[in-house]
Amino acid sequence: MTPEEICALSLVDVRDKIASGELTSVEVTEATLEQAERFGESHALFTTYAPEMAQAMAQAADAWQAAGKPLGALHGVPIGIKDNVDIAGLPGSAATLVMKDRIPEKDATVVAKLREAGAVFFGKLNMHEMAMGGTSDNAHYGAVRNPWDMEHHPGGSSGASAAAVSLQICAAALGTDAAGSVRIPSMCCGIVGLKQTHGLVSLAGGIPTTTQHVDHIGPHTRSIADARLMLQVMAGYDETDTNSSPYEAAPSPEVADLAGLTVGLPSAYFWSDLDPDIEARAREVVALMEQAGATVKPLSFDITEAMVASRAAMSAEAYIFHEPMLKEHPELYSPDLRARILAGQYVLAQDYIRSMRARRIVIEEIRAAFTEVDVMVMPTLPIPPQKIDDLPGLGVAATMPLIRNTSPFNQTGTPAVTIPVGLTSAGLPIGFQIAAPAFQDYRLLAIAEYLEGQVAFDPTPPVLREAAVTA
Amino acid sequence: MDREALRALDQLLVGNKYSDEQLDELLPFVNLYIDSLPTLRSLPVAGLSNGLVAVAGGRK
Repeated sequence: MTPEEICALSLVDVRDKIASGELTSVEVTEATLEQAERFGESHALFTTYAPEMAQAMAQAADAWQAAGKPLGALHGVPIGIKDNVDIAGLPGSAATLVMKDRIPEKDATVVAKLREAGAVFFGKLNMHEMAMGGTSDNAHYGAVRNPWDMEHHPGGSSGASAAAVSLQICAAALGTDAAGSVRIPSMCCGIVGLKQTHGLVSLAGGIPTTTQHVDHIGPHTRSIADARLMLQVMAGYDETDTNSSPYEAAPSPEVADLAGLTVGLPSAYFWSDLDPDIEARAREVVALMEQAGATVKPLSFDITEAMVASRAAMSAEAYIFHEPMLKEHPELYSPDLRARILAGQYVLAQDYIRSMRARRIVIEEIRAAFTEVDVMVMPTLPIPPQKIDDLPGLGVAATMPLIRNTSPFNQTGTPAVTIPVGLTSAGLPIGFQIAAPAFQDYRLLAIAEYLEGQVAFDPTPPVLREAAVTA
Repeated sequence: MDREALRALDQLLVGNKYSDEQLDELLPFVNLYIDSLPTLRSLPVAGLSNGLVAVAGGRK
């Protein structure tokens, strides 16, 4: 196989080909590094690039296999890691300057699980500074570029994780999601992004965005089957993480059609003020679900005010996390982020409590809706990604519309997945989000996989198609 | 809220003694909070519990 053919393989396929001996980990890793060197600089993908580490891990994986030892679920496969999830011995700064010299001695729990499963790491991926924004326009490590159109942002905060998967540097990457930061860039880059039930995957060893109560470490992949494999490897109780769940997600069989499924359409909040291309395509996908046997049920609950109110708590939580670093090195924060975090020190106790109780309103509204429907669906983002040069001066102004449809499921902790379903008239990907009740992650993935098959979207960005034609 | 109002708020609550430039940097973000207050304080939350996640698995 050529390096390009290897890079185009799904996670499941590349894992199987290494396990069968058709490919070696060294061959796969060299293909990854070649692709990383082709796109890494132009798309501002890395905060740390570690080819020597990757080559050493790949050689060790091949030696392990040659010795006839048992293989893990990701044996020899390169996996991308966002810069706010720790790999022992590599810098981990959440793409900031204030933590640029931080080198963790220990893997994050989820990275340790990937390592145990045989994964190969090749560096740390760029992101929105401190994961506090949705564009990955990073003042210190460069603005991450969208693989579908380099003038546009790739979403965020896990922008380079999604872009690396889209550009076929790796078949899967870790992102983090406290308001949509796995799902937003996954939509913008035309791939799959999963935010599983809160607590299923350990947060230990991740640098928190604001509060771990809404944060998740989730996978970016190019298919639902690959997301399922990642979740199987990543999930598990961790006694070192106070957010970790002792419960497992319920298993689910494959879905042959959608007969008997009730699909909620929460129109008041999630389906308002949509980009026309996005709305049109999302409604076509809902029609596809109906044709497959689903019953579509409109839902009238409105969480607009509660979501506005939930911001105050996030703001205060962010200030508390950053206060020691801000006092010592305020100059190492970009001005926009510094000011945004410092504003959190003025949140009054009564407003913090109101904000936390507003979150209860969101939780109860969505819990009640799930007594009437099996899943809820909506566009992942109400708007397509903007041009980087057109982004407003205040990063938060660009981010607020991006997180509207994703952040409610961070407040509830319930699972949600985005799948690519089409392109806007400008050729930018459109994502369709499906949300399910807590711990029904595998059923959610089964439904999404059925829909993925019906939609049959090709996640290959133009830059790779053009290269394939030229070759 | 303007710069002087923020200066007064800071003196009352925190005491940072920020410069004019620093206050101007903070103002847009403090005003995001201030602008959200009418909505935040109009919600009927007196009888609700906080939406904290303790241990996942039940009604979070």
